[in-house]
Amino acid sequence: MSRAEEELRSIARRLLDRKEVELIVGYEYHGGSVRPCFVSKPEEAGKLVWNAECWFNLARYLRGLRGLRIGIVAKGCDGRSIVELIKENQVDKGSIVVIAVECTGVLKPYKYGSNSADRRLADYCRRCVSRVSPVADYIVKQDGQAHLVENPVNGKDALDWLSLFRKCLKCMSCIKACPLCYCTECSIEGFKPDLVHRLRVPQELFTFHLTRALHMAGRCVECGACESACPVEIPLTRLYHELNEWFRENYGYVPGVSVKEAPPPLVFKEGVED
Amino acid sequence: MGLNPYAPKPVRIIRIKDETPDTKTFTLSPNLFESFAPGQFAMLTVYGVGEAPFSICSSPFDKDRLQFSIRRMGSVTSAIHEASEGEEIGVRGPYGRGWPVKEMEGRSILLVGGGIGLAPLRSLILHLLENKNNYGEIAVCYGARSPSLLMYRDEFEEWIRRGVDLHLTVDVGEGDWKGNVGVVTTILDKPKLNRADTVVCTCGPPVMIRFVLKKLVELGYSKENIYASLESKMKCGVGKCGHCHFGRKHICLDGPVFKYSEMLELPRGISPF
Amino acid sequence: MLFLSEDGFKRLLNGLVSSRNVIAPVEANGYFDFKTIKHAGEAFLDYSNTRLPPKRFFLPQREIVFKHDPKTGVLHEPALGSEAVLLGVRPCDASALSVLDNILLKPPNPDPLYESRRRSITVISLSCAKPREECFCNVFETGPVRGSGEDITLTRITGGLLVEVRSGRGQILIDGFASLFEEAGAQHLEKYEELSRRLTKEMSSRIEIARERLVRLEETLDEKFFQNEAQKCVECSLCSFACPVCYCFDTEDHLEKNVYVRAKGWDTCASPVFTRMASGLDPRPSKVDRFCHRFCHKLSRIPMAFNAYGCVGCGRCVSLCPAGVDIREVLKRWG
Repeated sequence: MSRAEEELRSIARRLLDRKEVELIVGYEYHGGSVRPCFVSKPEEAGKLVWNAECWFNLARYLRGLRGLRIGIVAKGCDGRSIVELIKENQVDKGSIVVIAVECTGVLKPYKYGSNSADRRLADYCRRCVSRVSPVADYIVKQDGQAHLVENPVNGKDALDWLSLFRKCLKCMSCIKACPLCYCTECSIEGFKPDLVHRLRVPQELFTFHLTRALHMAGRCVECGACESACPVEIPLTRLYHELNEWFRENYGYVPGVSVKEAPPPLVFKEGVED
Repeated sequence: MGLNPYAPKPVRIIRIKDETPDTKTFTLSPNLFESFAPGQFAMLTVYGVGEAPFSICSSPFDKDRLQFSIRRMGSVTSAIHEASEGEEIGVRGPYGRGWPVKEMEGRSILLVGGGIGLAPLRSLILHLLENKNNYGEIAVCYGARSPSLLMYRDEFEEWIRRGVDLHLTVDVGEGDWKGNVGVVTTILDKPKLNRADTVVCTCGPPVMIRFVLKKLVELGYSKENIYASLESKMKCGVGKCGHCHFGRKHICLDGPVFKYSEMLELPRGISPF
Repeated sequence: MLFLSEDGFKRLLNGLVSSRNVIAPVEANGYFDFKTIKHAGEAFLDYSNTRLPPKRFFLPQREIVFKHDPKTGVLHEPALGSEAVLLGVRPCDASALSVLDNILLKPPNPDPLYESRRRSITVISLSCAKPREECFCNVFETGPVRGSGEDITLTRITGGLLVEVRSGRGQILIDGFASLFEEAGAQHLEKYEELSRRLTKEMSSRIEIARERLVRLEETLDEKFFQNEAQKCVECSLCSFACPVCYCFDTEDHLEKNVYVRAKGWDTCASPVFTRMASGLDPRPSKVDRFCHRFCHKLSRIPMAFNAYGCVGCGRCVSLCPAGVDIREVLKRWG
């Protein structure tokens, strides 16, 4: 157990002990990997873990836990999505306690059918802008462990999106894993008439992915949950990153950095320059 | 390759009759089914739109036509409602287990319907009337939300003439309605039948079925003789698509008609209990 | 049992690739998948298992079930499966095919599309080299050496492979390459037993199941356990999409160049609209209900309706689930 993990557990234990929160959302060991877990008893805080396998964005659970006082373990990007959720009135800052864990990048998940030789830092972590959550009630510093963010990825080489989309199973895990995809009536799934139907002809892969991309533009915090959940490893974060870059270049806006900064699409007025 | 069980056969809509403001009865011809039992269902296809299961509401003795009463609900039913006479529609079936007509022989019969739930019972009524000598008394308790939502109103007189003891009720009266007002459970005690030896068949919205089953038992009808027709989403009708697999049962293969004891074993949600 | 030397195996592979359409595991972008190979060298047989099961070659994610031309009234039946050899399937995935046979070929309405593909594709399984941490095929006896849906079972032992012919279709293929095989000797069979023992021992899951207990899962399940687990589930449906057994399908109708077409393809019970009717009524309205259904269906409902477990222990759902939902925990409690 690392020192950071030890600190995380003691914070969690204290929060539960003092009844400051009812539930801690964190990670626990599962087989050779980790998985999300909900801890509600102080004596269970000892199972919390924090390491480079913790790729899932726990902010995804916040919308399902409304009404409870939640302690949440948050990486830099998880914290940024909490910021976005606060701005979009999906999360009440007063009801959550953020235990920010300093992150040096997560590994590309080693999943079923992965070639074991292919263990490396997730691509999206190489573009990371915030190793620590911008909202934090506690900060757990990283100790000793080598800094994983070595070389920023060269994001400018063009990808063949059509052939990448052709691999898509339309399982929609990208939507379901995303902390910011909270629409109860999704324009892509379950909407009548369906904008995208799993069984319709392949052209809809563009409708699906570009619709989602536009919904993520200027909101996506590039946590990579969609990409890591994707069974066929479509580098979706890269697509959303390009759209975010456009926002950054034109509006100087980076999502999830500050609770005070209003998202450009929300404050944009037609005909008003800048 | 063998017969493709997923491909419907085209037939024509030869007549469309307005039953209620949101329900129409469609007469299809030719009748491609060699035979069917009352209570069985068929899958109807609106080409290019989709397919859904519907109870057959015509008489099993009508060898030339099939009839379906369809309420406008989703995309398939809306498309059927927009169809006109002469148009082509796809049919496959008949599927499922219908009403227990063999077990009903020699006994009196009570049919309890709610709203469009009278459709599968109409097929049974027509079957019973055709074989009147094989069965005891036939009573029908039927309720709808309002008088204008009562199905097959123009056939009631004919049913009564042929010996059906018909009791009607509506949740809310309107216009010159002089009949009973109240849910269908309030008229279940009206038919004078030998309750211990009466077979009861019911169909209607799940919540109605729940209360009807409860009331029937209270009134002294035997659980052994109570049947209900349940509904579920289906994509194939032949036990392959998994949509209607609840508990030990496929609604499409083992139902849609279930015995009281079988319904007790169905999981929460699909079970009327 | 026959024996095939390493050299003989190379010649068999070359022979198959040059004469037939061969589908085998390959590596692409860091993970394994089945693909049609053009030359024997492409096959990556020293793989753990493929990310997605070979189910799609029998039950494609999307297929046309019929086309109806309203002008001519002609009904176009779907294209039938074309001949192929599916090589290197792991025993668990091969066993999934026999489960699917029980379900989809059940009379009186066998699925003609599945049936035609099952007839035209020869399945050659290959014993596992090293079970993954998530694997639990030993629980359902669907591996790690021998499965139940394959036409030929290959078991890799030192110096070569043991070959067991499991069907007439398998025999025909073997007969075409008869000179490559020899009768297996006692020393080979000994190695086979040894391997079988070693692999089973390496399996990390030690779960004892009893059918009579498991099929009663529905009645005995503890709602609190499922409520807690379901809370973590994000309803992403990866478990059904990656499952070698999940067979539930949806249909979609459309007009294509003046011809009406119906497609059929994978559906998932994790979806909130899986059982929702047009009227809005839904017999399975809550996430917990849907979550329970997945396990009840696989472990209790399918066994009762089709006499086979709906799970073969491949471990894909365990590994791919972003929330770490683990069917083995259900088996441990209710097996």
